[in-house]
Amino acid sequence: MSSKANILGRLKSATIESSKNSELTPNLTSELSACSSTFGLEQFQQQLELSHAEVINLDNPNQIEAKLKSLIKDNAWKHGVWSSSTNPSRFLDVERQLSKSEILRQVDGSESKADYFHHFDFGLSFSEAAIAETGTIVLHPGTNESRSLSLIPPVHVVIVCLKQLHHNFEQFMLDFEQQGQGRPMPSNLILVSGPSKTADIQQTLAYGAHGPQRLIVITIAALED
Amino acid sequence: MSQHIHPQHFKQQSKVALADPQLRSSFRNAMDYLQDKRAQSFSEPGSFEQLQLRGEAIRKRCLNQLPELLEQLESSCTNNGIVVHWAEDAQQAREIVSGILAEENAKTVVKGKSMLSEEIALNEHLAALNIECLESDMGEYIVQLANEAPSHIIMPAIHKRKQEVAELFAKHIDGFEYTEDVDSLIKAAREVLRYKFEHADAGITGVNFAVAQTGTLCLVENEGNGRMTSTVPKVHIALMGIEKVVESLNDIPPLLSLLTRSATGQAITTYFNMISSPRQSEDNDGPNAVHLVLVDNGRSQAYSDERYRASLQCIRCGACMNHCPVYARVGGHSYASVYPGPIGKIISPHLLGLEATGDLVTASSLCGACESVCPVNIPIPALLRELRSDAKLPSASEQALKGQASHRSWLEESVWVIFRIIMTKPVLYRGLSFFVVRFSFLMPRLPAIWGPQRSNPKPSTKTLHQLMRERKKNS
Ligand code: SF4
Repeated sequence: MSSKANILGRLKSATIESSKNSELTPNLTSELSACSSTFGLEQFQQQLELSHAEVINLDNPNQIEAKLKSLIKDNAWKHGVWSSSTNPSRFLDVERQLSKSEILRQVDGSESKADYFHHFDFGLSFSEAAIAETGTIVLHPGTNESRSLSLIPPVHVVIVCLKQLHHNFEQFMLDFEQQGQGRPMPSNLILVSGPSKTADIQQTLAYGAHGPQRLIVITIAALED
Repeated sequence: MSQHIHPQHFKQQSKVALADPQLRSSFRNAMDYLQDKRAQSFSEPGSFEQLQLRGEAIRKRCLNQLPELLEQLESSCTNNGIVVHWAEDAQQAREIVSGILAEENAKTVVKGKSMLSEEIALNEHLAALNIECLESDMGEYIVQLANEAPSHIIMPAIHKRKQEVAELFAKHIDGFEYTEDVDSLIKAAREVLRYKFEHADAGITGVNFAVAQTGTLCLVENEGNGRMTSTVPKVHIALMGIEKVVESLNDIPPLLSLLTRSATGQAITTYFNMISSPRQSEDNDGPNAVHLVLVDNGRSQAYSDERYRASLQCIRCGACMNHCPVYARVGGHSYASVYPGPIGKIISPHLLGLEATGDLVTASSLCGACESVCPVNIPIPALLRELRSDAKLPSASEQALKGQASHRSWLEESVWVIFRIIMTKPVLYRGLSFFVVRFSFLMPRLPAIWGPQRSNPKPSTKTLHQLMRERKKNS
């Protein structure tokens, strides 16, 4: 018999009288409150800053270009890699500008590991969604974005549209499932809540353990869908 | 990692640990820090209990349908392109992993934190096959350099001071300039490990939760090494205990919240990584192959016994050890089992048998601190009492634990038999107590173990029955 059959056989023969089954599954879904955007933004920002992320609030997408230019200049970044939003209509103008930039290269799958490890100073991407309660951004690498972009370069800059702000993870998960309408999960979905960190040496926090040392979150308030 | 194989020497190992003031202060400080963090994160009254109720209900519901969920997980993963393997024991699990590595011609491996990989002694197995398997979690990397085992399931190097880490790095990392500054130490390790990530042939990680309905593997971490390990190399192998499966994506948020808040007091960890398939044709990167190894290794035995099934609810947060007065004093290595502390005491007997772990189940005052902080409400002290009696007595049912009754002691049993006879026969009881009070002056000084700081107890000159009779008369 195969290992699978043996394991499942043991488990199945061990079915315990689960008369308690029904009482074990009370309706315990937590209350989902809609996210009021001002409160949500405040909490979102506060949590992110507690986790050592840098938050920049902008009113509209037109301001992104100037902000990025000043970030690049101030930090003397020479090479960046960027990916377009999964919702292109939102940031079309910004993306047009980005694609003209000389120091930014758009992800197209041709980047090598060495590019990510040694060449790019920063990665720039658009978040899929955000979660206020924990100060979390949701990334969906795939067609537009790479997994490496938000992971390997020392700095990750991420643009978040406040329209995508959810109250908590639970609410995000429900919305995500609903929108997915039975489609399979993307190959990778990542929740990021700050720069990489560790407290493994004598409980002392240090940032930039393996992933980015800095996470810069740019929020955009006004955006029509 | 010789520490792994001698849980039967718990008592001697504890004595050594107790006599090491530096080790004790490392653990005391770390436990205080972690207890404090957890308390802050559940500071709102009732917030813990409410979430705990949900966590427990989810874990129980999923365990009740474990075989069905595992089959569903396999079919969802297979549909997504993840290759699923089943291992009955540690040896099969090791061979599956080395088989995949051989097929991929992988000679260098990076590994994210996985207690299961410790459980199956994977590093030793791969080393024997000339495959380099480097730990990439900072804490695990440190203990691997020191050729030690992790002493805590969440913070593996909790027993090490920064001076010791600095000395280790000076010995093992080329070009390391001696420093005890934690930022610089982390930077030095980061450089070494980034090179390894870039060039590794395969990555191995554990799994915190797996979702049956969608075939999604979830990894919880702060450092990003789990993401590196599951992103950069061309093959990703995920090792998972069969109990970790949950039904749907909606089961995840409450469990994640309980896990991170109980473990380190964080509202959420830096990264929560959900992997549902290998790199797809439209993806820009990611591993070309993802393998999931489902490992039983004693879990189905715990499952089959109603008394012990609750131990499989565990989400490996480590809160029980952070609050355990025994663990805080003897440290993680004294247990010499992969999982130390209260959770180790209740699962190690299923992994290693009671003969090896009989002393571990007695290393508790049954104070209940572990149970009171357990996010999924596992009745750890009750399970310990069951295990203690299983270590001493033959099984009443057909199912016996490995090593059942292996700690049986005829002397102890005879004492209890005599005690029972005396206590149930009034004539005997009275006769004996008559002599005991009269000859109590013969009682020797209690052995040295009672301690010079304590005075010798002084027995009463009258029995309780006598005292009660006198009281009645006087009133
Ligand atoms: S037994 Fe409970 S407290 Fe201990 S590690 Fe498991 S879930 Fe956490």
